[in-house]
Amino acid sequence: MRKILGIILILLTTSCMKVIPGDVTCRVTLQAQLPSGENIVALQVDNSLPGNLIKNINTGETYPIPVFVNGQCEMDVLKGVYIIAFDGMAALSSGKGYKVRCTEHATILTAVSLVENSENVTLKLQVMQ
Amino acid sequence: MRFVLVILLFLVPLRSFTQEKLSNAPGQTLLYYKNCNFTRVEIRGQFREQDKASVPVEGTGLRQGEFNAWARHSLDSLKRVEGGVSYHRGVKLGVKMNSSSDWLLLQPYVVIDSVGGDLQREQYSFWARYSARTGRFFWSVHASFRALHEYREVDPRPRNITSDLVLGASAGVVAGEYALSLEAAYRKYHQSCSVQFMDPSGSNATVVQSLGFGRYFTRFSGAKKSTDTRFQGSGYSIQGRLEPTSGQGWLAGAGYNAIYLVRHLPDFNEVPVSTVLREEATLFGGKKWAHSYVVAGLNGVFKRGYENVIDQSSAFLSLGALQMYRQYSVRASVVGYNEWAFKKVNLGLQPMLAACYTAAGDGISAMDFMAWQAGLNLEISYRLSRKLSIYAAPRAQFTLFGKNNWFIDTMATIGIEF
Repeated sequence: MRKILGIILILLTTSCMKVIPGDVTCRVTLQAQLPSGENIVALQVDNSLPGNLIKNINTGETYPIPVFVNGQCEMDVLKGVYIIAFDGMAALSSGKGYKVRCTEHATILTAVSLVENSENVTLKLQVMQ
Repeated sequence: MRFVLVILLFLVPLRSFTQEKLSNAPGQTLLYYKNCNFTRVEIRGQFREQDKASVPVEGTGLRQGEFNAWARHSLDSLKRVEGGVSYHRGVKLGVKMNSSSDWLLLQPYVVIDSVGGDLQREQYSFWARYSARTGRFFWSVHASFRALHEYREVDPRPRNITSDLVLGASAGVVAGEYALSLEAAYRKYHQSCSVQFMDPSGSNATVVQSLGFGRYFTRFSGAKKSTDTRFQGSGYSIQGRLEPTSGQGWLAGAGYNAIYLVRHLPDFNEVPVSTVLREEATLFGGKKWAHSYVVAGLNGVFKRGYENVIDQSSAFLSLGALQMYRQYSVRASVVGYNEWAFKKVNLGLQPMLAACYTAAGDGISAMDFMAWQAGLNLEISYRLSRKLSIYAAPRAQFTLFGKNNWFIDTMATIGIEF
């Protein structure tokens, strides 16, 4: 009975609210891509630098960026809309190393939505000279 | 945060419970009490002061004066009207970590300014009920309205205007010496909360849209000259009661109420940023005699908080809501009352004991705590004539939470009844 009344109340008063189903966290897979298409063996980001972060644009929560292995990494974040920005060192399968930068989702207007239980985001990196 | 929650969870149900003298309980069964034609006019003072606030959101103290008047009148042997008005004027001293009104209802999704200070408050409230009986059946309709204005006269300057409307109806039946009734009500709530800075150099504080446990919306918080927030909600309540028609015997009741409150930000395209769903269930039972009663009550509150995910556009569209905040609270209480009637003097004594357990969390942080409370109300009335009496009612409430955190709430009332 209590459950039915609760459902009726929610229908009456919250028809405008869409509850995101599932967990409150999203497992996001970040895939790093170089303009040349070369394979990245490892990508390391210095999380101590203030500009290197994944940040929720609404609540301000920030997460350290894990090491990319074979061009990708996985992490759990609170579902939301995120700025992703960092500078890092990429080691390629050819043995070369590049300093790379990710700015594709670096502003609020270009932030990426992570609201499903799992999401894939491709990050197009810039190679720094 | 922990202490703030425990105290406020404690005080509000207690106040409503102890102030309601069961012999004068409003409602349908008034029809069965013999002497129910009266008018009461009273003034009341409330006082609390501490060096260091136990409850920062309620401040280091409260100084408040109240004027209350209410009346019950029989239109004929089967119809009755009752109604009341109330005006409160006071100041909460040294309020911190809260700029909104009705913190207990809205928490944890409130507005916070980082400075705080004294908060002036005035409240107007009105209520009315019409009751009628047809044979074994009886019914009533009722309405109440509360308007609250809280503000500060120095920066940061919150100005909160709250309106709270309740409309309800009840019906019941007399079975033997008992009356069984069911009451349902609808509630509409609105609060506009505006924090402004008059200093020409700008704001001297940050205004934060809180999410509880120290989290907040960074995107919608900051040091602006003006921040507007609107809380809007609606809810309902149902309650069943079994009461003795003679005023003596066993009594029992159960109730459930729920309210849904959405926080909108007018400065950001009216975006709804969070929602609180508060549900409360109450059970009580006891026995009433001619001049005394004992009632035990159990009260449970379940609160859910939803944070909206707002998109990156300047239209501030909501992508959906995440259920983050959860709070469970159980409160058990026992209230007794005894009245000693002398020739012209009546003396009433009402002791109370209560225990409360609360657990809350948001998936990131969690807490739980236990608290205890004891209170004593005293009422002395003196009959000046057959239809006129004066009364005085001092009250003290002691609250202990943790090992050495406590405070005493005091209240004094004087009034006349005719």
